[in-house]
Amino acid sequence: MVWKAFSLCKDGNREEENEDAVFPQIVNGSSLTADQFSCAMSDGATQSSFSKLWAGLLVKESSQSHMMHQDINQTVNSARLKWKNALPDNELPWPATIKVKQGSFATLLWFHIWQSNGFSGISSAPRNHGWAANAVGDTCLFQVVKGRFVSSFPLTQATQFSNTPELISTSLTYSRARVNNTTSSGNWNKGDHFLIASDALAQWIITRVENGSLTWPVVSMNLTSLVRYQTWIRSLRRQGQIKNDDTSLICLTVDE
Amino acid sequence: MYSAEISRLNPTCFLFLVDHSTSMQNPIMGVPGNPKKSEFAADALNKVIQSLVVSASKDMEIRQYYEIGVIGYGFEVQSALGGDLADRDLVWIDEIYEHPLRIEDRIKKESDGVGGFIEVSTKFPVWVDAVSRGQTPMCQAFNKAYEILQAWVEEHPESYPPTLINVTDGEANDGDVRVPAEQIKSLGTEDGNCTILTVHASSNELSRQIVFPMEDKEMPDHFSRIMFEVSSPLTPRMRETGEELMGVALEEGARGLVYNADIAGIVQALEIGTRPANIQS
Repeated sequence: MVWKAFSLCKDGNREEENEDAVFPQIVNGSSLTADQFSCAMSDGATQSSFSKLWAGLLVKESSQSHMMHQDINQTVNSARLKWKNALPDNELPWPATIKVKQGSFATLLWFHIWQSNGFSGISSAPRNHGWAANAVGDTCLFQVVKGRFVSSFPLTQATQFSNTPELISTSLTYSRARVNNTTSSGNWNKGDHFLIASDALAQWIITRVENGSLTWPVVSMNLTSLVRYQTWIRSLRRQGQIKNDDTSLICLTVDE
Repeated sequence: MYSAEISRLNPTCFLFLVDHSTSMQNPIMGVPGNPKKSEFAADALNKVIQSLVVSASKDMEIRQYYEIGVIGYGFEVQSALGGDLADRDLVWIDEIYEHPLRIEDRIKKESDGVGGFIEVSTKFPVWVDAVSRGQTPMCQAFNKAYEILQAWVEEHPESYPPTLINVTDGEANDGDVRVPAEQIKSLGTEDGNCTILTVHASSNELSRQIVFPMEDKEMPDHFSRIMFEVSSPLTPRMRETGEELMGVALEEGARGLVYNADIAGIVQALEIGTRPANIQS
């Protein structure tokens, strides 16, 4: 597989304020030859504090724990503990203390792909040449087969995007007792591409797929470098085609 | 309309007008033992400013999402902010955070998680104090607000439009407030016109509270109908927040007016008017 990941913070923010998180951090264009591979993307909520930290912990914990082999709640609880321990040591200003109490929020999309020897997380998952995904919120996975966008997960229609996506919270007080996640799985063939996109770009992709105007080259031509990707996203923002938000994309291509 | 994202690039503005007339020293709802209307209004304003500071708080900083002004009108018409912020018509929210008049230690009740309550000590920042002296020069206050907001919308043409919230217990005694109110409502940004909300504090426990009325015929008298005319229809987001807090549907066209507001009504109206509209995830 070939790995590429790109991100651009929202206009008006500094790059270090980008609250989208991707794991692992690999040099673009790297070839991955492992029999199985996990990665994840999380989109930290702007309204909450320390959500960049939270998103970073969620992607790391889920990727490293091969989340589908265990209850997602265990992974999230482990990340919650680490989030609490990672907060600044010094006394927080009073507004920050209130924000911490309210909790931090983020989406999560975890993706696992394997060549052989199956995968126990989802009973329907294929034994060989399979993939599985686990999602909370509006960060989406797309599979591209022979240049066509054949599936999206967990959202499938542009109208499903809103300002209030399902999120994972650091605080049990402000969230459901159990994480409200959905899963999916399928097969892959050589030459397939898997895209994982945070909500602004995911909504753009689904909208274009819905109106039949999206072809793989439209996307792939903008994934040749980080500069090219960022120029593309800025241009879509200027044209009002996507909302101004942190915008991230992972592209995994199964080698021919 | 009323959907612009609030950000540091495109902040918004909340301007509070507070009645400082002598009648505000009477107890709220006319019930002896209740706090004075002026004290309750000041407390409610301090709470709402605190909520705005918290909503602009991001990690260790306070982001400049809002400019805030508090204009008192009574024996004089001027900024009710004191200390380092005295005489400032509009102040960025991070400066507001940095310069309270004082921080009081208060006790509040919190859920203990098993059905009971515990008392916890909490910090209560105070930016405005209670004042009740003089007449009700509401027109003068609205004229001042017009000047402030006219300059603001010129400077922020793409922002979520300013929200003006008038907290009062009476009627203007310096003219017809509908005139400057119309001027203010004609100001706007690309995202919509300025919104005026009126929070009318009750002076009589027997008087009926009227919450976000649809038509002026719901109002009991000439004076309250003027308040109806002065107030803007609630924005979609305000209706949404109102429905969430009050548990009742608010139709399009419902006016941003709570008349004869009781204690809960004042707090609720301020929250509906100021809950940050659209800070995206």
